[in-house]
Amino acid sequence: MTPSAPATPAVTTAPPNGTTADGSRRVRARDPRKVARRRQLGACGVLMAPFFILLVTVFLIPVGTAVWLSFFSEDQPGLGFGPERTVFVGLRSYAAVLNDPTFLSGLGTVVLYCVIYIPVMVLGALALALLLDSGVVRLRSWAQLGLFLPHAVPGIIAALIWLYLYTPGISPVIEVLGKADITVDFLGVHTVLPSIVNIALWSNLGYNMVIFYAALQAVPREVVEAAVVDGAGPVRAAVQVKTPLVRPSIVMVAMFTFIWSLQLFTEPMLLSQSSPMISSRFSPSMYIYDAAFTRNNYSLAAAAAVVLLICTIALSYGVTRWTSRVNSAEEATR
Amino acid sequence: MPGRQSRRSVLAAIAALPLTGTLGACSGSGSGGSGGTSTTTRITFWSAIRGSQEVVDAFNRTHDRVQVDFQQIPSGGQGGYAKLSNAARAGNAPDVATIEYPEVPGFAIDGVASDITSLISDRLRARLLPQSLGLTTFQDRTFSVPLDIEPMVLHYRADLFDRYGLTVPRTWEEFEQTARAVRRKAPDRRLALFPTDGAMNFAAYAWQAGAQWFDTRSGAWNVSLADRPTRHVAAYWQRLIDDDLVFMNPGDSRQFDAQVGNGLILARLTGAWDAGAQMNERPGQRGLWRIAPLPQWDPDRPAVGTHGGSTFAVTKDSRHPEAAMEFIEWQVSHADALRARLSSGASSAYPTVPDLVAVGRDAFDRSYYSDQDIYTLFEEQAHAVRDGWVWGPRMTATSRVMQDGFARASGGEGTIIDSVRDAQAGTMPDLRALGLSTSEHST
Amino acid sequence: MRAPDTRGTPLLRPRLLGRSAVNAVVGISVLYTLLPVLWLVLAASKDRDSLFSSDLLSLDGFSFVQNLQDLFAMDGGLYGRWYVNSLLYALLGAAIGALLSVACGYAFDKYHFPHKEKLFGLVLAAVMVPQTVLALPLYLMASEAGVVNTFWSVFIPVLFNPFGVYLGRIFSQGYVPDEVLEAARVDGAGELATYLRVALRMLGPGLVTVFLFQLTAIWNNFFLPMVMLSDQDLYPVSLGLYQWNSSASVSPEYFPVVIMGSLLAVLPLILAFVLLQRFWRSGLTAGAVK
Repeated sequence: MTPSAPATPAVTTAPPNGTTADGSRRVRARDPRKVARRRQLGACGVLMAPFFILLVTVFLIPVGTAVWLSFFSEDQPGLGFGPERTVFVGLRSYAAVLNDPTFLSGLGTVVLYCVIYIPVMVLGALALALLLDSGVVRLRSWAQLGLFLPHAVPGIIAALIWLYLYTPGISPVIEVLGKADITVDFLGVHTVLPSIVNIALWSNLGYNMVIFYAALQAVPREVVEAAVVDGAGPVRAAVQVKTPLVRPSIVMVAMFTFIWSLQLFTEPMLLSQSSPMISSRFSPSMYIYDAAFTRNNYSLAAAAAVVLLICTIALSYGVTRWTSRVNSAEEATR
Repeated sequence: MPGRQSRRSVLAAIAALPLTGTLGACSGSGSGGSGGTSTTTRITFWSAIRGSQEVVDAFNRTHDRVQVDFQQIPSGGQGGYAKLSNAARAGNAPDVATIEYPEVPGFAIDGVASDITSLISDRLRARLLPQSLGLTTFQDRTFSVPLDIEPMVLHYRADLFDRYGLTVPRTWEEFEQTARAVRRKAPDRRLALFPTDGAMNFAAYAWQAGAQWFDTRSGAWNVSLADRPTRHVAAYWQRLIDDDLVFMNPGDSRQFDAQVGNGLILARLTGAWDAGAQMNERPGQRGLWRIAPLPQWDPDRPAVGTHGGSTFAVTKDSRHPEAAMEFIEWQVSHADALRARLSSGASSAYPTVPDLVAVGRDAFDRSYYSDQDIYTLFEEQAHAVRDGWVWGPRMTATSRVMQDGFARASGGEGTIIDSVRDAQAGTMPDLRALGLSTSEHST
Repeated sequence: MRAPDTRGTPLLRPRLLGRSAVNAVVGISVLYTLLPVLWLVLAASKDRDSLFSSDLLSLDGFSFVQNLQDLFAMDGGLYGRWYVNSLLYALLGAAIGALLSVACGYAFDKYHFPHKEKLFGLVLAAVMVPQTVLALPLYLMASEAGVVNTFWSVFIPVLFNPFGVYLGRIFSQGYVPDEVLEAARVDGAGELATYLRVALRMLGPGLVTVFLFQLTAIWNNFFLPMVMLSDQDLYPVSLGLYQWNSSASVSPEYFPVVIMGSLLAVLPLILAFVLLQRFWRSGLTAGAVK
């Protein structure tokens, strides 16, 4: 903790930059501060450089490349058997993507997925956090750990576990339901989407619950107690007092859940091995993978990727604007 | 080849600029002169076809100047095509690759299969069945050499046909009646399967009925998947499905294995090649199967489509195209090659070189089919293959979209013809984004 | 019965009925999250036939050890390779990645320079960009560099962890008081020396948190290896199991090994999360309260 010990040798190595004597320091009064500032910026640069090199190479350049690829194409006019040449094609690839019913149905699938998933996830995680916060749950920290555990299970393995729990013959779930004379095909035309929602819910419920719980812990006790004094029961205190106070967390969780949902890939990709109801272009991400690596259509894949990126940016920008407007409106009414 | 170059150099320019320091040395080495004397040329060959190892061994035994390194790869849909595309992208595709007919235009457009028009000798060209060469030739340029042509035929369980007193259907009308009879007499059995992963089977039905999914008139890809013959065929199968006269599930599945293994299915509608595959996979059913011509719409004017069949391409990465072509020519046209292939006991490939048919007839072990002369049957059927069919430029993707629709239809959502229309709608954006000239039709 | 929680005022204390209802709801939720994991453990001890036919809880066809042996023998011991690969990608990647991002987050907190907040906004934006958008360009870049289908093609991109920078900045605010730096500067210590000898030690818990989250992320990584790798020997566990599962639809002998392989792949992370609870809780709290 005490920096003195390692610092002492540094004093002896300091001189090079002309702080030899008091007199000289007075003469060039601005220099030492400039030097210190420069040294600080230098250190700052050294600390940041490795990360920013990565940022440029594995983030900025790829994003730029994706945008570039979406506007250019290696065209072979006519039937396509002639030599290729790279041409600027403007919005042609975007037109193709947006006119592709398989891409649009993938977007539709994800929207439907979000409509089911996000409310269930947010309400479920919030309800559990409120229950844990109510102080009546026994073994609270064990319950939290248990709920959180699926987050430690890799997505592909979560999908594997549930795939087997959806597979007749292996699944004890189907067996139990079968004994009650209920037959469910978890991978049928209409059930496959809820089945995927369930996998995501299982993986992330506890994670989001912990976030809400942490936010609830930060709610000042006096506020809640004041409400109770006013005659609010525990349910009303939870819903009408605590919940509004953690709204920023709710918005954040909902937004990130939305953004991750737009990227839906791993679970359907794995389930598609066993269910023909999941096409190779089931979600936009699967569409991009398919366009790039099985159809060898780079500009189409890049255009689809940029469309997905724009949806993501628009969404987070919209949510940020909306929350700040709501906040300022609230402040105005106060 | 030049096309490929441009794609790579363009990407180099934009993507790799800031990385120049670390780039540079990335040219593929490794495949060059691997040992041996300077007179021996070594070429690489990838295939998923059964019996290829035997063929390569026979070639290497009888040739000194050219030697082949063979690698068995998964079939196209199981990852073989992805492997080939990846290798081509990385610049190390094999000298000789195996490509099924439907994918030839796609690999030619992508520049993986190179233009080999000038490499094919006139002698070889004259020996190949023109219908098959037509499927690999576009704008007078040939991109691969056909190995086999596979007319679709009817494989049927002679013992079960006898047991239920059925006769082999010669028309599709009779086929439907037979299907009804099977369901009536043996409620847990069905005459046949409509495979939900069988876009290629469905294509063969449409082809037979006179459909023309793609054509290349006036220098454009004219697409009409849901033309009149196709709509007719789709309505026919839809009726069989709606009346529960056929199974509808994936063909490449354990479920189908069980259906065939347990005798729940009385007939398979597949290419001639499937005779050998059946022999190899179910030795226990020896003597139970026979083969008949595909049912016809109009028996007076018989026609069939093909199901399966492979071709050999010289890839853009080949450094020894002449040697590669020498191997290809031997493989498709030499009697020893066909004998070696059939000796594996897993192949019944019907050669595209008609003068080899006699060799096949002698070399094929007929005992599984109770001595039926199936090569003569194949020969008749091969001549009935309707001329003028053209596969599309993104056939793998087109089939997948169609099969997604078939799978939904099997779950009670949508119909066969919906699936076909979806396949067209899901293909057009691809073709447009590739910059190809296109037009769409619905008749 | 314990006395009610210290936080509950008498008025807040729910009635007994409500109390048991609350406990029941939480209990059922915990069962929902834990039972699938328990199923994995039980199923991993079954041989192939009893996996498909027998009662899960019975001891028929108990073959845990046999399955374990099969797992490491399957396809010439590929699973062992995958496991080592995953450990390399995840441990090494998370360690280096956490160090880089925490250093950067620290610099964002302690130093001032023009356009700092804009730059930080860029880092935050990177958190949100879908990986699918980056995959094709990354593949093409790796292709140009000749590193497609090598260890590096997966390893380098996973080092990038913008969320770690965000956490690093928050932890630096919380754990490293500015006065300590001032004191070090007065003593004449170099900036980097101060970081390495003083600040980094204070940031320790934060570093572990970032490491843990990145470890999970890399262990979970599926899309990037799938795009970059074609050589099975380089696969991480996630991609390997994906491939084996696809084989299982044709050859059922893969089922028991996929299940056993999944169990082994889950264990290290569950262990890490149980042992390091303090750290991930603080990480999530930092994210939530901000």
